[in-house]
Amino acid sequence: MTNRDRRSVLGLTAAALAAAAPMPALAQAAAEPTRAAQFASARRSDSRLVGFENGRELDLASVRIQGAVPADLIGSFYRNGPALFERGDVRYRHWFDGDGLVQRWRIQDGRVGYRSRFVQTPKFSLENRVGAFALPVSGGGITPAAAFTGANSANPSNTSVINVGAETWALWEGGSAMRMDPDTLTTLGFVRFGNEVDGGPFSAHPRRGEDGRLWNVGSLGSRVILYRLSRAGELEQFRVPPLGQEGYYHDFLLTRRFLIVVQCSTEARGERSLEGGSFGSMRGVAEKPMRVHIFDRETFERVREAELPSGFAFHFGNAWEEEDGTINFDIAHSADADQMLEFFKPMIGVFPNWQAVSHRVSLPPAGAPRFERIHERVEFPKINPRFDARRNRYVYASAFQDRTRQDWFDSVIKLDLDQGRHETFHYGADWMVEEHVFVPKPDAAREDDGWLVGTALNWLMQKSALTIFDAARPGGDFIARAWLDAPMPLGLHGDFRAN
Amino acid sequence: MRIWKRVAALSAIAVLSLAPLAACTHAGASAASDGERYTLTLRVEGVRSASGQLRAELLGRVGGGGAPRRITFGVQNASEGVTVMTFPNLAPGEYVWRIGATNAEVDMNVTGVPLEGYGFSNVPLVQGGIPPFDRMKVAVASDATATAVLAYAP
Repeated sequence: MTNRDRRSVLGLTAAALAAAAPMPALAQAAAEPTRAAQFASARRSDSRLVGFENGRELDLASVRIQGAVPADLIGSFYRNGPALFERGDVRYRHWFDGDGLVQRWRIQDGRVGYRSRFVQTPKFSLENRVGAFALPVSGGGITPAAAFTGANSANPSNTSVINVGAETWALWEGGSAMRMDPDTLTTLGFVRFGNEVDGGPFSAHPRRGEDGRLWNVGSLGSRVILYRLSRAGELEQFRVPPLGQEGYYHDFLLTRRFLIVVQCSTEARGERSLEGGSFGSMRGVAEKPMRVHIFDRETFERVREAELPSGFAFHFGNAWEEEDGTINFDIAHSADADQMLEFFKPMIGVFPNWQAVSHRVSLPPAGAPRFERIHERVEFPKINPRFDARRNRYVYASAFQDRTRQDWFDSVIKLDLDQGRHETFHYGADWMVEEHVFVPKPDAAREDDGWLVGTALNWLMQKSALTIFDAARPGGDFIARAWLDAPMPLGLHGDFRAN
Repeated sequence: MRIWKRVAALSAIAVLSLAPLAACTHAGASAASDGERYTLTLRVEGVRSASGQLRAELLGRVGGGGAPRRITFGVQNASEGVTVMTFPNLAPGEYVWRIGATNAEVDMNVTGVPLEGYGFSNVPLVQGGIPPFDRMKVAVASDATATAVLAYAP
């Protein structure tokens, strides 16, 4: 048997790379109390670390409202994120390994209800049953104690959430999306495609075309799975082209004609891996440019390639193209490509070093790309979804108003790409701000005619809250805030389903 | 297009699907033609369904050394829970079994993960890929029994 044999059956996903450890009996799952004790010690003296404690399932028919919820804002805001980091005295090594907790804030008639449920993945259910972590994870450090048959064995469904047809999907990136009931948050089972991409990597950031169809990518190292799905989430087409090099990518871009994959300046160095997992093997390579691959979004034929300055990017806001074929997009770009290592820190009670800087990129059909700085230290860029794949003027993101702050975002920002201006709402020193999404008003005429909706954690009060802003003027006071009166772990991505 | 035809070379599991199906529970003879012969009974646990067949590929190292090579294969109608397969007429040596469970050919996804149950002799917990020969091997110097536990991708 060859190494190639082994790789193929393991799968090339992140979680799979952590699966080579010996196998004790289930009851003897790896015991590594040091990490949990280290976090507990830090937590006792730092209230902000509540954001990295285990989350919980809650049901609240209505929560306390500050201000007045707009009568015409009706629907549900969903947030997913890693939220189970410890079982017994074992704590995960990497923030992105926690099991997914989907939260739903239901907004109707000026009231807000709340529900949270852990995604009942096969991994979560098995580990709940045995009371211990038993499957390998991308951050490493867990001795496998249950059968591992590819990425979905260890899929935590913890990164994002989107609404597709009558379902809500919880997304990871190394394996399948997980179907959930949008009301009860009951887990319904993996999204199945019934062919050779079934169970394959499926990124946490599917993007919608103007006609409602969905596109997505799945990372296979030096190859990429390109997906196109119907509005209802049925697979219409896929292709697996080579990229010619390895390099991480978490998000991608879509224009009216193109699908764009941007590979970070990284490579896997398994021999230097922290904790033995794939996250710990991902290292930045100085002088390696970010590689841009542009595909026709209908045929998946390669159109052209380009290069950007060396670095790392988790997220983009939006891409659009001009008549001459010039492609424009914004990127949250970090010059230091070792970003994946930053997110080991929260598991021991240290905050990551957020470095991403918002840039505007233009890729002309010929000639050098333009790469312009827009704003320092931002993440989670979002736009009005009605402008997806169209020319957009505004990008909203989490940001730092207090430049001395080194722990977590304290603000939401509206960036004006045309005018180079920005407007910021400063939550305050006692807040940790998560991603905010744009919800268009029912009769919106302007691009910024809508609400900005997102969650944040007040570490001083130990309470999470949902805040609603006027997206045209977020720098003023907020419109309304729904208080959970309990802290929830800091989440990743969200989505809004309008009723 | 059946995916296994394209990726068969990537996985020894797929070797199972390239072999013609036998009509019964027969397992073929060992490569050696003279000397003592033994029967190995393979107990396959964790079989989810009684529909379809289990197929086991037998690789062996006979005569004390050299690289393992394919000896034969066996096909057995599946029984839910435990399915027993017998491999008679084996020369003394070290053997491993790779088992797949399906109604048809072994399919794998684009990452090479089998879309059906699979397992290996002496491996109670599948951990992704194919284990080293020495972890799977069964020494046959008399009639013997070995166990494999099937695992399924969720």
